[in-house]
Formats: sequence, structure tokens, C-alpha cells
Amino acid sequence: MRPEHWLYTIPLRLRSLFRWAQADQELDDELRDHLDRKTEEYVAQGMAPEEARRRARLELGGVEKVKEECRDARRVTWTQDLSQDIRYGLRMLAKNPGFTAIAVLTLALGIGANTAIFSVVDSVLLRPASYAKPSELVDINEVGPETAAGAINEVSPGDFIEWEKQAQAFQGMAAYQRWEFHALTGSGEPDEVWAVPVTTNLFSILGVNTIRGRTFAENETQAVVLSYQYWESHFSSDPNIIGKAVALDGKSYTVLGVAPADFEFPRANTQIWVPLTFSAAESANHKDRRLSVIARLKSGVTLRQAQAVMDIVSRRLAAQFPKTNAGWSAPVSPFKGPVAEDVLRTAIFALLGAVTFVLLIVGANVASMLLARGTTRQSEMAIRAALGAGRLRLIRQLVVESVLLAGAGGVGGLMLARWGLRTIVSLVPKYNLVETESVHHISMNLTVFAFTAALCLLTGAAVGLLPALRVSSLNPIESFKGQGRTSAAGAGGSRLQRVLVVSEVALALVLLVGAGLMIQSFEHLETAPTGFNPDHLLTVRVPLMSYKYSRPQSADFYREVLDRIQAIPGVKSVGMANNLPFMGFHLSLDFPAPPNSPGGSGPVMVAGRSVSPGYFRAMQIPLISGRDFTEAENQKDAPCVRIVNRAMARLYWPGEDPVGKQLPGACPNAAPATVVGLVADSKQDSVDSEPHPELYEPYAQHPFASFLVTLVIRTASNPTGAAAAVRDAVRQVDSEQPVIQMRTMQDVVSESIWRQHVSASMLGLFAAIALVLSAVGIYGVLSYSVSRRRHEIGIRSALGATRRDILRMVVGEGLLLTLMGVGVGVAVALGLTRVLTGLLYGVRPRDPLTFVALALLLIIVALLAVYVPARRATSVDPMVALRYE
Amino acid sequence: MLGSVTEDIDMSKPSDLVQGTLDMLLLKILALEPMNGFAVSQRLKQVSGDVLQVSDGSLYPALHKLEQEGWITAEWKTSEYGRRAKYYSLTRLGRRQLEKEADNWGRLSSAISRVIKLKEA
Repeated sequence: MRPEHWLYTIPLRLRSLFRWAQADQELDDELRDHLDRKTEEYVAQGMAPEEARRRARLELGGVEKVKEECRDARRVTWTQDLSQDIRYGLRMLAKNPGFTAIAVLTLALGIGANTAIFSVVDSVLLRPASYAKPSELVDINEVGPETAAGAINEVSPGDFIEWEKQAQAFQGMAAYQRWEFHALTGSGEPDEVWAVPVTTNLFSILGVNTIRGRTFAENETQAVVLSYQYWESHFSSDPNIIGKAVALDGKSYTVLGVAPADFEFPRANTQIWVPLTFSAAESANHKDRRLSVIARLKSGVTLRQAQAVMDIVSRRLAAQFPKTNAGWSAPVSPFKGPVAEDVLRTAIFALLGAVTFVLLIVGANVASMLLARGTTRQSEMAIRAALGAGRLRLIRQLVVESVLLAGAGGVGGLMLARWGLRTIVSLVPKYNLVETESVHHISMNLTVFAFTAALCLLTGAAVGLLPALRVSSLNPIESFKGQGRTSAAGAGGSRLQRVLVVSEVALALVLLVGAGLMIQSFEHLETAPTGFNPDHLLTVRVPLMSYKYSRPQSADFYREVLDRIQAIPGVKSVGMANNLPFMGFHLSLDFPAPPNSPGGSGPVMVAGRSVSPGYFRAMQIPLISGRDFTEAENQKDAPCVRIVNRAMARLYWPGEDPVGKQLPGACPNAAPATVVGLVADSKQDSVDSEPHPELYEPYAQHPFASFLVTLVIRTASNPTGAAAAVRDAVRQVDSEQPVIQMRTMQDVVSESIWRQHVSASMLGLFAAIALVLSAVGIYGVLSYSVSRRRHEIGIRSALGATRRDILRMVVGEGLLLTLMGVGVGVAVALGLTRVLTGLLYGVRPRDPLTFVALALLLIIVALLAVYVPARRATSVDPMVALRYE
Repeated sequence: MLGSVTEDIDMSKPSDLVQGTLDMLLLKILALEPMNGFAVSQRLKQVSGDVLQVSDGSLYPALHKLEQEGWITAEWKTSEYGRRAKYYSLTRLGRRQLEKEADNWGRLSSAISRVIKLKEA
């Protein structure tokens, strides 16, 4: 039917459906009107009124009958048929509770797994923007003559201010800076907050309002907006928070408002927004490019027009400030939020692939179950067909049944998904905020529910259609004759079932191999040497309050803290570093390349770490030669000394002991440093990375990145036992000092591989589901095959086949299906495991041992599943089987 | 046995002949002007003489079916004598449908008449 036709008929049908009473009343009126007129006509012809009315009625032929026919004409058949199908379907499902329960549970596993992973995709990769009209938002960057191709620069405050003044294509322009870390005091425990300075108009440009209080007014400075999550966690969702004062780095700010829960600007895990203002000097600074700029296009202005405007402005600035702006342009691009990093993406895509496989297995299983049941329902279908039900009608009824199953499975799936998501989120580290992005905020929203609903419909239809097509295509007469025994059509049905089982086994093998690789890789990661000993090691961040302590003061502060902690009973040693390995940060220094360097003469990236005397002892990083730093080297005017790791020594002094050597340019004012010690390599970034060249400095000599200062405390017994004493020790030195993220080094290490942990556990779970489901599938097909072949088996044993022969026959059939599935699965897995390469550590994607072991596991499980029906086949009594006719 | 049921249909009722073409006749009548059910039945008799006897009993279901298809639309109106009645009129879709059916009918009837002539010859 043409859509135009629907335009007319749909309202009519709806009216028939919902305004039934009114339509009936009108029908009544219409017929009465007809009778009246007819009667009048006969009366006019000279008939007696009584007689005239009788004639009229007679000609109409029974008012009620005509009414019923009219109602039939406007009956909305498909909706009424549908409700009939649903009622019938529910009755059928209730009649076979065992079948229904297994099918619903199977579907719930498949749909639940998909819902859970889709929620992750939705929150992490799709991230629906919570901003008004996001298509109007653009990023503006700067590109200079020295900017590498494809790269972009940030924007200088001076340029931003000029742009704002001159560019007419935009409704407004806002700037923000990268994360800053501030000590937050004056409310509960002293804490460190991750603050983003934003210009006061940012919220209005994004079109986002606070859920409590308000956003920044123009020129407001000592005020903050809290993120919903931080308001919840640090302020316990205090309803009276607005207007309260907090101190950031000792300066007082007023809490203005609380942002909505889904507001993650510029990245997830931002805890607080502070106003970004520019001093007169900054406003004139065109050189220091450190701002990110977001703007909203005027409505109707295209990206191209905006770019043209920015080109003019850039040229003008280049002429005005040739020193800083010559050759610089300002590319305008559509606003894109933060992009999930590669390892996480790969992990998510791997899981997405895995759940698709699980769903396919689930589909194959349920389709196979329906097919088996469909064959037993052949007689029912034959009767319906004989009574005039069209093929389409039969198919629809069967599909409605399977969609009902999928719907029930979907409800179960949502519950499973909730549980699964909670598990995933619990595996995500709490403190590694840099890497975890919005994984903390994964939730099931409307999009997810819509996805699940669509998935139920699709799965139900797909799963039901195949068996329905088969069953409905059977010739009713054949079915009556065959009574569902060994008819040709039945053989066709079981062929289809075999194909389904083979695919299930193949899919399960692919999942098993994927999970096997991931789990091995995770185990390798967990046990991989790190170069230090994470046992019995407590770590805690004590970020330097640089607004409070000058450099000499901070050295005194940390020495006192370390001394007090050292004095705690049970503490064996204590050290500190300006940043700890595996924390998600990587501080590196550019170093001139050594003479005759194989990598050319370019600068070398060297990891830098400022440490206290005792750090190596606490971490148990072996000192190979030379000595540790001394406390005296933290004093003012102490000689400039350094300790290097092996990789660094190999780079600069291959084959020599570096102790006593001079390292040119390592000290302030490019003075050379004396190497006083050589330590073993330890990994800096993650378990799966190789150690880089590393340079250690006495912490007071080069205290950069002091906000990351972390203490490591080696204890005699359980390290968390010392937590309270450590906190007290720090607070005795300064009661306002944030003491945060206290956890064991073991946790730091295992949290650094959380992505691999999540993927390995999830893949493992999905593979286990796949294994069980494919075993159930094999079991189902063979039991069904045995029950259908009772007659044949009876004849065989009557003709002298032993139990052993029959056992071999059935097991052989199952084994053949399994081996075919394994063959296909191995081929597919060989092609697919490559996508896991980025996630694997210590195991190759085509590891033959994994392939063989898991194929064997699958075959053994399949044989167990085959054994039960095979035993049943051997116990067929030929007399009973033949009489069963 | 299935398949051996002989269809026993009485071909003598004149209305059966009309049944298939009734839709077309009704559309044609309503194409001239909107009218109520009673008027349609009068007009039907008038135009076809007594050859096509459409009972009042089959007229109304047919009208309702056409309405449901979207080919005609109905409206309650007050007639010149101050009497409320349901008036049917042709829709755009109905006009198209009428053209199509009239076309088919023309082809069918000429084909049939050729066949009949063939027999007579």
C-alpha cells in the first residue's frame, strides 16, 4: 500500500478500534434513517404505514445482520489477530514451562550481555552530548609555521581576546585551561580537587545550566561550580551547599552551583570549575599558547563562513603582532568531546564482538529448540492450515510466540545487565582518574532501553522466522500421514538444526580462544616483573601545598613527615617520589642524545623522578653500584647529583660503570651533574611497557610536578594496617594537608591493568556462557535425533546391532558435528584474534597451545553432552520401539 | 478426503453477478455527487433498471468497506428538510480507484464479449 493511502486509512482504522461505541451508534442512526426514508416512500406510494415499514425492513434483510456485516467491513483485522496471537502464544508458552524457562533464560543471557556492553559503548564511545544544539559548537585552535602536519596548537590569551572582539560569526566564544590540582580545605577532610579554569561564559555557550544554584556571572572570580559527582562524594549531596565557602589552595571561594550529573566538560572526572580570568599582561600575551577555545556559531552561519572570518582575523593579528603571529592561522572544526583512548576502544570492540557471538549462539540455540518443537507441532499446524489459515498467518503466529519469548528474555536480560554493569564498574579503579574517563558513569539510560527493546524484537523475529518458515511450508496431508515421524520434511528440519549446532560450536570456539588469550595475557601481566616489589607496600599521595610552602620549607616539611612515618611501629622503610610508577602520569625530560647514539642526534626522552633518600630501599629497587642520595643533598647549595637506571647507563656509558661520570646539562643553568648511583631498571608506565632510561634526582633539587608527591611505606605486615597511623603522622605536621588515595602498591599495579582485567573477566564469562550453550545445543539436537530415530534404532538392534554399535553411531554423529564446528571455529579465530593484538601481553594472538587446548576442551564438553542421549539410544528396547508405531 | 470437495455454487442469483462490480458502481454513483445511503440505493435501481438488483442489505456493508479503504468518506449533514443523514462522497484515492476499475472492467467486458461472439460464430 502506498503511504498516501495509509494517511487516509490509519485514522479510520484507529477510530474503528478506539471509538467503537460511537461508530456503532452512527451505524444505528444510518440504518434507522434508511428505514424511515424507505417507509416514507412506500407510504407516499399509498401503502399503509404498518405495511410500508414491514416492506422496508424486509428489503433490508434483518437489521442486526446488516450491522454485523458493516462491522465486519470495518474490522481492524491485524490488531485483533495480533492480540489473539499474543493470547494464544502466552497460553502455549505457559503450557510448556520447561521449554519456556530454558528458552527465556538462554535469551536473557544473550540479551543481557548485549545490553550491558551496549551501555558501555553508549557511555564511553557514543557519549551523547548534554549540550544545547551541539552542531553549532566548534573548536578553534591555532596552527603555526612550525606546527607539525596534522597537529594543532592551543591558543594564547591575547589571541583569544582579540578573536572574541573581532570575530562576528559566533554567538560567543569561551576558553578553558587544562586540569589544575588544588588543595581543597574548609569542608570535611582536606582533599585535592581536579579543577578546570573556564571563562565565565562557558556554561551559557554550552547551553548548560546548574541543577542547583547558578553558574558564573561575568567577571566573577572567587567562585566555583561543583560537579555532581564531587558534590555527592565530598559534600554528601549537602542540599545547603550553595553560598558556602571552601578554600582552594588557601584562598576562599563561594560555591555557586552544582552541575548536572552528565556534564563532563572538558572531560569526565572534572570535579570543580573555577573562573578563568586574564590579567592585563596576560591579555596582551600572544605567545603563550595554553588555552582551548570553544565557540558557538551564530545560527545559519556555516563552518566555512566561520573559517573565512577567522582567516581574516588571523591575518589582521599577524600584521599587528608579527613577532608572535606571523604565519599563524586558526582552524575551525566541529566540536568533538574527548575521544576514548585506543586500548579502551579495542577492549570495548572486542567485548562488543564477543557479545554479538553470544547472541548468535543464543539465537542458534533457541531457533534449534523452536525447530524441534515445531516438528512436534506439525499436526497442530496442519489442522490450522486445513481449516483455512494462510501460510502468512501461521508464520505470524509462530513469530509472535518467539517474540514473546524474546520479550521475557529481555526483561531477564535487563536484570542481568544491571548486575553485569555493577561488576564492570567495580573493577574500574577509583583513583586512576586520568585513564578511566567516563567509565565510572556507565548507566542504563533510555537509549539503552530502546536498544534492548529493538534487540528483543529483532532476536525474537529472527529466531522464530526460520522454524516458522519450515513448519508452515509443510504439506498438511503429508503431516497427517507422517504424524511427525521420519518424513522428508522432518529430515530437512534436522539438517537445519545441524547447521545451527555447527555454527554454535564454531562461535563458541572463537569466544573460547579469545577469552583464553585474554586471560593468559592478564595472568602474564599480573605476574610480570615490575622491577620493584609491590608486596607490603602502602602508597599515599601527599600533594605539596605549594601556595603554603616555599621550596626550602617543603623540603623540611617532607623530611619531617618521612621521619614521623619512619617512627611508626611496623614501618620498615619509607620513601617518597614526585610521582609513582603506574599512576597514569609520565613525567619525562628531553635530554641531548649521547655522542654516537644509534637513534641519531635528536633529543632523548628520559623519565624523570625526584625521590627522597630511602625511596629505592622502600621500593626494593636494587642499588647496583654507588650509593643512595643523602639528606644533605636536599640542602640549599648542595652539589648537583643524580642516580641513573641501567637503561640510562647503557645509553650514555655502554659497558662502563656510570658512577662518578658527569652528565652534561642535567642541572639548573645547564651545569653538569655527577652520577652517584646506578639502580636496576623498573617499569614506569605500566606492566606491559619496557623500562625507559630514567634519571633520579634528590627531591629538593628539582621539585617539579610536586602535586603528585606520593609516599611509599614498606611495612612488616599488612600494609593497610598502617594507614591510620600514616594519616595521623602527616596531619601532625600540617592539619590541612590532603592525604589522599591511600592504597597498597599491589592495588596500584592491578588497577593499572584494569582494562585487561575487565576484558579478561568479561570475555571469560561470555566464553563460559557460550561453552555451556553450545553443549546444551548439541545435547538438544542429539536427544531429539535419538527420539525421532527410536524406530530405526529398534530395527538396528533387532537386526543384531550391539549397544556398542549404537553408542558409536550416536556419539559419532555428535562428534562429527563438533569437529565440523571446531574446524570452522579455528579458521575464524585465526582471522579474528588479530584484533586483540593491542590487548595481549606475553602471548601471541595465534598461540597454538591455546587453540589446541581450547578445541580439546570444547570437544570434551561436547562429548559429555552427547553421551546422555547416546546412552538413552542404547537402552531402546526394540520391541517397545517397533510397537511405538 | 481432502481436495475432493466440489464447489457447489448457485450461479442463478443476479446479485452475485453484481458483487464484484458493486464497488465500481458505487464509486461511479458517488462520483457524480455526494449522497446518503438511501439515495444511493434509489439511484442504483434507477440507473440499472431491474437488471442489477442490489439488496439494501448488501449496500451498507459495501459502503462501509469503501469508506474503510479510504475511497469514500462519510460526513453527517443536515438535509434540506432539516433531517440528519450520513452523506458519502468520493475521495481523491477513490477517483483513482474508479478509473482503474472502470479500465479493468472495459478490458474484461470486451474480452468476454469477444469470447461470446466466438462461441456463437
